[in-house]
Amino acid sequence: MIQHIFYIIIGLLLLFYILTKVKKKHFAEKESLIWLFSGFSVALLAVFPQLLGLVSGFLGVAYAPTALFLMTFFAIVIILIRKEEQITIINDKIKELAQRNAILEEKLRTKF
Amino acid sequence: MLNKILISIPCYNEAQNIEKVILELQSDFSVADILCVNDCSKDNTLEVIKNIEGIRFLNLPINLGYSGALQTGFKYAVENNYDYVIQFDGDGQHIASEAKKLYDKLINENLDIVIGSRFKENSGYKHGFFRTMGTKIFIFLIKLFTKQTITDPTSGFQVLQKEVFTRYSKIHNFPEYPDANLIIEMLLLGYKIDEVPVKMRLREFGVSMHGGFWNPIKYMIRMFYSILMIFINFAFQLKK
Repeated sequence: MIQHIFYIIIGLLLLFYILTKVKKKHFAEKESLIWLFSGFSVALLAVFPQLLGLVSGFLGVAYAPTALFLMTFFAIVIILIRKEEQITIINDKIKELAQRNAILEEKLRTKF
Repeated sequence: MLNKILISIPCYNEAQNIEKVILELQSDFSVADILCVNDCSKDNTLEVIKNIEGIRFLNLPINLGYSGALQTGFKYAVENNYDYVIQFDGDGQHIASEAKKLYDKLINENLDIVIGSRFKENSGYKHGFFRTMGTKIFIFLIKLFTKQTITDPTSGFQVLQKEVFTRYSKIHNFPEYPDANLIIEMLLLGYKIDEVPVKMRLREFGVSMHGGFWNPIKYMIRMFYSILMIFINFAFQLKK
């Protein structure tokens, strides 16, 4: 029972932490959705551990906790790929800005 | 009307080489404007460039690497309405008087890109073992896919006409090493590319970006990957 309560608290804390971040606008709303969803899943599984059995049955995984690892793994991979994509885009934008900055600076310098 | 030619020189830590390079260009190829792109050098390259008369320079606020600096030059050329861009190295490897040969060939034969080749005729230039092997493989790949022989695909000594550098200036994530990959892509797109045999010197000061043991290997892997992606892109485009 104690363990059960412990996991529920962990799940709720995670959900609360993510929500505060969103509220403070530390996360973009679009990005926070996937985190909110993961936090919600953890909380849900903590409250209703039998759900895990259902999910693992559905996925055809014999040992229920493995299903949990599998789902976590997929979630993390998706998040990582998205991050990689965003980093690439941001890098390209920074490069654009630096180039633009250098060209404008030259214009300014030669004009006066 | 006279053609507007820009010689674009990406410089990173070239304080010891750059002045000599520019003075040589000013005396041997004076019809062109000279642009130095200081890629946020750690040494006093910027101060050296600032004190040279009669050139333009751009100062990048962050280090973008060779290709980023090169692309900045293309953007500058587009913005200032140049007709031709000559890519020139700031380390003293390229010889100013050879630039005219490249430019003349481009004009006379109405080409899109002319590459200064160290290996078209035996110029006595020697690469390290890995780089020689790599270059041979890239020559083979270019020949295989485009039926054209480019003897020096890694040469940074090139003349480009307006359409080409305008295109380069707009590429997002411009390749880190714009060599065989870009040549293959441009040939597949139908641009006319040829080479002129040139002599090159070995660099006097500073470190080459292809030096050491690990850099050439990294370069090879990335280049193969880049070429592969070009084919995947082309395959998709053809299907469409």
